[in-house]
Amino acid sequence: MNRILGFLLFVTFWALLARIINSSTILPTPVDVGRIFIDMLKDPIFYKNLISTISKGFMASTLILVLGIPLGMIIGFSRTIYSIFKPFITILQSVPVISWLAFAVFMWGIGWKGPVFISTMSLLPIVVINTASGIANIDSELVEMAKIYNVAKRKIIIHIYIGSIVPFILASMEVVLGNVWKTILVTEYLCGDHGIGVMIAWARSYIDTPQIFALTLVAVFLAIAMEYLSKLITRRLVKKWKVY
Amino acid sequence: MESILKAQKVAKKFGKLYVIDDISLEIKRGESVVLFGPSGCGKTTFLKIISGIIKPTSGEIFKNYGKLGFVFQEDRLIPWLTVEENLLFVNDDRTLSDKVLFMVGLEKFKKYYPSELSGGMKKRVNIARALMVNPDFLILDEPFSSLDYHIKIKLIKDFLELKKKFEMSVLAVTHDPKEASLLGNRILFLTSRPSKIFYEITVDTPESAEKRILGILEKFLSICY
Repeated sequence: MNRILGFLLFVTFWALLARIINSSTILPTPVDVGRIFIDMLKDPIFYKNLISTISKGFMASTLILVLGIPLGMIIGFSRTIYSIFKPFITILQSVPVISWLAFAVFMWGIGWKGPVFISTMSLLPIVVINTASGIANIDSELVEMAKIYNVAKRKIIIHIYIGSIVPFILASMEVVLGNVWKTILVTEYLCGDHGIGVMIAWARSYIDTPQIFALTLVAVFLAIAMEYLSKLITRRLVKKWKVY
Repeated sequence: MESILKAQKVAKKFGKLYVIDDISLEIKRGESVVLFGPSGCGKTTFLKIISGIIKPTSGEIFKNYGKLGFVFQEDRLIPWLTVEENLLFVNDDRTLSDKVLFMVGLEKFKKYYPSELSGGMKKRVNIARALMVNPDFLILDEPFSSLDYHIKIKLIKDFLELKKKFEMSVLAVTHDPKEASLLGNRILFLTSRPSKIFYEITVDTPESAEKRILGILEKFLSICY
């Protein structure tokens, strides 16, 4: 109920502001945006682009998790490796999206590879650091307990080590699925050939602000839907790990 | 009676500091020995030496037991495993885990997670896990210290039943006179930093032992601190 109220308040404020500014180039009204949004839903080209963006997002997310989790585990297991890799990760984390652009364009030109590569590079450090800190935070008392009882190494790794990093992996997954869309859209805008980001670039060149707003709505829905999806996947697991 | 464990002149130094100084101790089969002393007097370190997690700086340990069970002060249950899974972690025998859970009165809680249990129930799981290895020697590190009085007394009584059933020898540490006198056949007073045996009581009845502990407690604590 409160959420709906908040949403209505937001739309009212937007409508008021649009009326005051009175220029659909700067700020279109909610009604304009809504109309264009509905028109867009009838257009097959929109769906082609939407699918392109979604598949890039999933490709990047998969790459990030498949690379980031094992890398984080390796780094987390050894303090020496951690301190060697730390500056590298810090640098990687602070490289702006734009800086990857030149590299990606020279490498692959315009297309899907650039956006997937750049999104992977910009979110990978978060997953690596998250996983590594999960390993570093393993309860040494549990490991000691396992040693006293002569529990097999395999069981210690599965139940204590992997078990300890699950919450960190779930948190990484949520962050990645919620944020990958932003970088995908920006990079599509800059070096993509299909996708919602490319549609925004077109709309911009026609100074079609209502279209940009409608596409932004799509991006917001996408992020919310994916976050919901990741929660759906993890809800069962989270019951077990709710102690965190 | 043959001895199940013998520690001879065990000492442990961390850096330059002696935490344990020259402890000798013998436990006979079926006997319960309690180490009584204030927190931080090196009792836990001594237990770690006995269980082989850390090596003493000097001295020797002779082991003559089959399987060792350990009841931890902080329970050390794996939070994301159920009660049953926690038991199976140390031994895959499902028949035994059912039997042991029944013995500690938790058969209805085997699918629960540790966070869903009370302090006393967690302690029971901690004890049940120790029983999963069919131990003939059991070490207890301040096992009942964090529990409410009446839960503690009930749990100790239940534990003594289990001790009989499993024919275990026991080495326990505690700073609680009541716990010490209920659990032990012999009570050894340990001073702190470095840990040394200061006094020994042989228990006739728990009531008289508790009185004797309380009788020398003040003098003992004045040496400890």
